[in-house]
Formats: sequence, C-alpha cells, structure tokens
Amino acid sequence: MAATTDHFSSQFKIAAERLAASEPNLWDGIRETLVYLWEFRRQALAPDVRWGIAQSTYGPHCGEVRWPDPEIQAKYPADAWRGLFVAHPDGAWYVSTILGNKAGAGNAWYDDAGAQSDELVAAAVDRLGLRPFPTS
Amino acid sequence: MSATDFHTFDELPGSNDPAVAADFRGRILARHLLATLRATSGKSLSELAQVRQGSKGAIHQLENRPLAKVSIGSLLGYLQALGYDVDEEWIAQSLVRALPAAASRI
Repeated sequence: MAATTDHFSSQFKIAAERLAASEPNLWDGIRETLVYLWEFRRQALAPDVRWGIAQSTYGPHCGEVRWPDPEIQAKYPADAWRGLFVAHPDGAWYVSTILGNKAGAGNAWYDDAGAQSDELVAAAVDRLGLRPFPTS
Repeated sequence: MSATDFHTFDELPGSNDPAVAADFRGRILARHLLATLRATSGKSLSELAQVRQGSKGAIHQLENRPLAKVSIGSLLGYLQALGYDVDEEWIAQSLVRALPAAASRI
C-alpha cells in the first residue's frame, strides 16, 4: 500500500513500532484494518472501522480503526486498541493521528485522544500543505 | 523525529506473520460483506431482530462470525435466516459489486 494521500503522525508510528515489537499479532490486526480502510474508505464499516468520533471537532469525518476484533477480543482482555484518523470530506487526504489502548479507560480515553488528534490534523494540514478542511 | 512529523504507511512496521495477517484480512472482509448486505437491504439491526424474533445482539454475533467457515452452499440459508430474500445470482452479482477497486498491495 503506497497511497500518498495517507499520513501517519509520529505518535502513531512510534506506538505501532512498540506494539509490533511487544504484541506482533495485535499489530498485524491493526495493520490489516488500516489496509481495509485504505481500500474501502468511507464504505469501511463497524466493527473494524467506526466513523463519527464525538470528541473530535471533525465529528463525522473522524473515525477509528479497532482491534482486537470481536472474534479474539476475549483473548485480549487488557487490549482495546484504537487508531484515530480524520478524512478530508472529498477524500483528498487521511491523517492517522493517535494509536492507543483504551482498555480500562472506557470512553474517557477519547477526551484526551480526540483533542490531541485534532491538534495533529491541524499540524498536518500546515506542515504537509494539505487541502484545508472546509470550515462550514 | 518531531511530534509534528508525518509518515507514510510504508514507514509503519510490516506484517509479522503473513498467514496471521491473511486470516485477519479474511475475517475483516467477511464482516464487511455481511454488514454491507444488511446495510444495502435497508434493514436495521432492530428490524432484522424483529423479523427473526431474536435479539439485536444475536444478529450482530452472526455478522461477526467468520464467513470462511460458511460454505457457498449454505450461504443462501445463512442469509435467508437473517431475513434476506436472495438467490445464487443475487449473491454472485453482489459479490462482484462489493469488490474494491483493483489496487496493488504490498
């Protein structure tokens, strides 16, 4: 996969590298979910991709990849990995921002992660010269 | 590496185990297919549960089951049990329509 429209923050990359080293099978699942998102974009569906993160100002354009999947979640009670991303409405770019384990934190995890994600999207638009997000 | 640096997918770690990754991909696509079938039917989980006189959770669990374990021969019965009026031709056409655009994968 070499889509030039897809960008990943340093936080996302570092978390991915740590997970790949400590729990390689979990990383493989997240990686395949990212491939799925790349292939299906807005048509990617739950439970693997969820659109509409309320804690992000990007609302319906902010989503998350989710792993472990329902089939193996019981084997990983201490893992509920979420990879936040924001998609430009016309598909010009996808920025994956925060990769983290929300197990034990519940929905409170999104309060911090959503805010950090929004800041990273703004930084990506600025640093990479991406098409600005519509303000309306 | 700065906090505001950005990277490509190719800079992320590769697959650890191709066989495991292929298994995960098969499950993801199976769930996608079943969720797409339900979505395109216009039926919500609640409506399907009403048709089947079961719970929304039971329908969701069916959609989460790995499709790879369902033979083509039993796929019709599987979908019909979910409340769909489908036949072999419809399944074949739907599968073709559901395929993603051809793209090279690493």
